[in-house]
Amino acid sequence: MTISPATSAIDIISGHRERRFTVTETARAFLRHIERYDDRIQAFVTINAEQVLEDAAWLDQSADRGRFFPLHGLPVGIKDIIDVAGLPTIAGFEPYRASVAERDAAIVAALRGLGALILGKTHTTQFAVGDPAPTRNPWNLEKSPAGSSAGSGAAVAAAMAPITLGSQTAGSMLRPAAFNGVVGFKPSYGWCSMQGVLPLCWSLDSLGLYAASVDDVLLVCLALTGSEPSTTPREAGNLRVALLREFLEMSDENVSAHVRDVACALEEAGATVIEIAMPVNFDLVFAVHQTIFAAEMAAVHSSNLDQFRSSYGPRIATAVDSGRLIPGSDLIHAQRLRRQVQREFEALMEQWDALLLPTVSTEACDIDETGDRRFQIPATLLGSPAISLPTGLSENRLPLGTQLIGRRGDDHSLLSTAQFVSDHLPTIGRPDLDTLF
Amino acid sequence: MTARTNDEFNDILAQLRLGAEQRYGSVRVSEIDDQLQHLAKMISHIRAESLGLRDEIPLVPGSDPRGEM
Repeated sequence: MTISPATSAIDIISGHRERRFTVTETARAFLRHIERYDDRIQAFVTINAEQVLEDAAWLDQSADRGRFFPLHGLPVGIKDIIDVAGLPTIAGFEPYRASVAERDAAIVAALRGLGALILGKTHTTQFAVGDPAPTRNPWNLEKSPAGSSAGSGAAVAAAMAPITLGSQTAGSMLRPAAFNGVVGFKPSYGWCSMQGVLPLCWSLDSLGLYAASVDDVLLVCLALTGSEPSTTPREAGNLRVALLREFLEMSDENVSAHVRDVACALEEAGATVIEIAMPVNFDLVFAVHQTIFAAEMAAVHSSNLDQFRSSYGPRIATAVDSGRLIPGSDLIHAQRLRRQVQREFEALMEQWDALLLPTVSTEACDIDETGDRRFQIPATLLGSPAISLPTGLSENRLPLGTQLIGRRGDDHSLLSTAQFVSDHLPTIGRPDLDTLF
Repeated sequence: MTARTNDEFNDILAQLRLGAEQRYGSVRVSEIDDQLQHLAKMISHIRAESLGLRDEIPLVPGSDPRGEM
């Protein structure tokens, strides 16, 4: 059997374990695929093919000796704000192009320890903020892949990697998932070490995973957290989902109609779906996030901006210049309100397994923007796990995403709910890359 | 926006613009004015809502008896 880049993460690992194909064959297949298509999509910023093949050979030698790892030879792409030993962490910022990381970030070291094959670094917007990355949307090259984890989302959509890492501080995991038509999972805040990751806002930053399916996300999450898979799949009769009215009202008509269709499909499958209002005014949630976001980002970037102003993108420079003017007393009040909002949502979540809403208010926007971040902000501010599922295509044949938000710290339950949802909806497939050229 | 929050917004925006001018100069103020207006709107919302907070959150880490954060 030969390996295809469209093979699932689960099948790639089992293929290696059963010796149906070698890790080296897998590495070569993905490197060929990237070489063929990435000059137009630009998902990857740095790849050291020689190192990838050397790592693959080491994993094959390990298999020859009968030693297999949980993620044996699984190719993974890493967002370029996360350190990979021997590669620069550029973060879309030219002065960092020569800053080669001496060691892996904690999450990368964990993946390597589990046998993952690190393919390379994926493009990000500058410092994971709003100045667009060079990446194109694999469904339509004139459309945005969103941001900030643009390359990681596009890489999975274009089958250049079965798994990629991204990050979210506002909507940078979920929005690229929706625009690129892949699964994007942002776990609960604090689920993994952030050592070796360039910070943007310490109290909001979280790493996450992209994959083509919930099953693939679950596989990697279970491996990283050392958890056992649940033996009791989610049953429809027990599933209670709250459809959040405000986000339907704020969405484009085609997006709200689509998410209502998703809700109907879940009801037909036996789940209880009830439309409710948010327990807290969305404007407050947004204001609290934006105030904390701007102030923390200014704290992270202030001195660097003063030193390298000409290398900063206009959007992040504007955000930092204005963010450092926020009075300290207002930041304190925003933090108090954040805790109040968290308490209100925790009380709400005692009644529901998940909150259901569109991932983004629109389909993929034009290439000079990264899209509407508002709908991804509640989960970020709450520190709750959230997942975007590719649940349909628009009339323009662009992906539409549906978001589920779970209880903070109960990530496996949310993934179980997401499995149920994806099992009861048709898949959207992948973009046909050959028609784009 | 109520008249009160509108006044608050204008006051906050004026303060932000003044701070920006002192720090960066008038050219930069006009370049970043959209973002200053956005922040002024966010901060006016924060100030209005924080008036209604009933729970006082201890500001010393670890002193919250509910064990949160």
